[in-house]
Amino acid sequence: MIPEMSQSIEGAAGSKGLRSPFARLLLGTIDAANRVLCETAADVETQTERLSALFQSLTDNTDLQTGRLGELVGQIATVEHEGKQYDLVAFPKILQQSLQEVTERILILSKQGVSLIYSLDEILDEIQEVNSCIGEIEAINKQTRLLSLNAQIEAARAGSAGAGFEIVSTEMHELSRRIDSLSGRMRESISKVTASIQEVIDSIRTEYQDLSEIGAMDLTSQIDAKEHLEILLNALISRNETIQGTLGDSQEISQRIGDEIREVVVAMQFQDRMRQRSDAIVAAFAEVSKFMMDHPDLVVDDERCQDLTTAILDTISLSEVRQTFVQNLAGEETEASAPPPASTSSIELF
Amino acid sequence: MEYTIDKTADATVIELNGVLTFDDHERFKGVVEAITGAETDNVELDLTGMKMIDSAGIGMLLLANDRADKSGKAFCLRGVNGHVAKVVELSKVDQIIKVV
Repeated sequence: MIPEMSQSIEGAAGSKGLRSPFARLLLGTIDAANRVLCETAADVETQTERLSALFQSLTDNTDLQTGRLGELVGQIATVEHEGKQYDLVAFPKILQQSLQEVTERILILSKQGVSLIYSLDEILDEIQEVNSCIGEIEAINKQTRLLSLNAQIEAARAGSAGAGFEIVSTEMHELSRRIDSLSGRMRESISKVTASIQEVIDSIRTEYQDLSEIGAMDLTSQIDAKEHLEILLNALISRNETIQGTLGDSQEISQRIGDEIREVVVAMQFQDRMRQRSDAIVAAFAEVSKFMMDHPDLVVDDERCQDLTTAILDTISLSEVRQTFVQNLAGEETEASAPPPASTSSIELF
Repeated sequence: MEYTIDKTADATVIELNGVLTFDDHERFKGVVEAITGAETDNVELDLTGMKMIDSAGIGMLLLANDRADKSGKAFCLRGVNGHVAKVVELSKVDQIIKVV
């Protein structure tokens, strides 16, 4: 914006010094065009600044959203409990491992249970054999006792000649009685052992039957649990991958939107260049208006026209606008068309 | 559970049919004796006709494997399928007993 130029044009437009109606019309037209240009440039500048601010806010929010999505991607696969991070996918694996350990223990117990019963059965068989042996001993002992009794009878018949034989047969009878007593104790002891072993076997059998009744030993529930855990684990992994993929895409899209908005903001800064062009035109029109006011009869020679051309070109610092004016006013590149190293060079470099 | 014993030149094949649960432990003793007393070095337990097995049944298979090992027999399972295959997979028995 060049305020002094705008003021000089306004002054020229209100002047009645011009003799030619066409000159007044021309001056008025230039004045009006300049006003419209100035107002348009100011309006564009205001709206552009507003849009830039809005886009900048949009960029900031997009960056914020991108950051939050990034955090969400990192957190989606974990849960926090008492300050510790746990991987969601790891839970079913832990459950599977526990199930496996329980199953292994059940199998070890089953194997040991069956093995124990087999051993006890073998012991019972051996005890049965011992019982049978005791029966045979008792039968032999019965025979022995009968023999000793017969010997005692025969010794009595023999009188004094059989006295020694009677002593032997009496001892045999006593020995037989003691064997009877011993076999009785053995049978009683074996009976107790057998009863104890049978009790253990019955107890194991009852335990197995109880466990079978509650369905803990047929392993169907464990198989179902394992299959459900596998389904759950696969579903968790799949959903986790889907969510992470979706969030990753959203993050990428947010990032891209942010980048594009930043590009829009940069592109909108070319409004400054448009403002420089309009300022150059306003300045050129101001020179023309001033010249017309200085020469109200509009009768000027070539030298003065050249002065006006130089004055117009000197007001223009923007090289592309200056080039256009040079081509149209001078018809070719002139010394005056060279861009002056003015303080506005910083604008030119934009 | 019912079982049959078939002897070939290379192996003794014991075929189990039906279900193998704790109730079969007394009958399974005959299977164990057939394994330990086999005339061949290789003993195969064919489970093709086995419909169901519980943990006690798996325990009996492990016991049979132990007895076969102590008797110097090469022991393996074959024809594992259906419910039996699921239990074998769950119990990881295939890591202890060779399954063909």
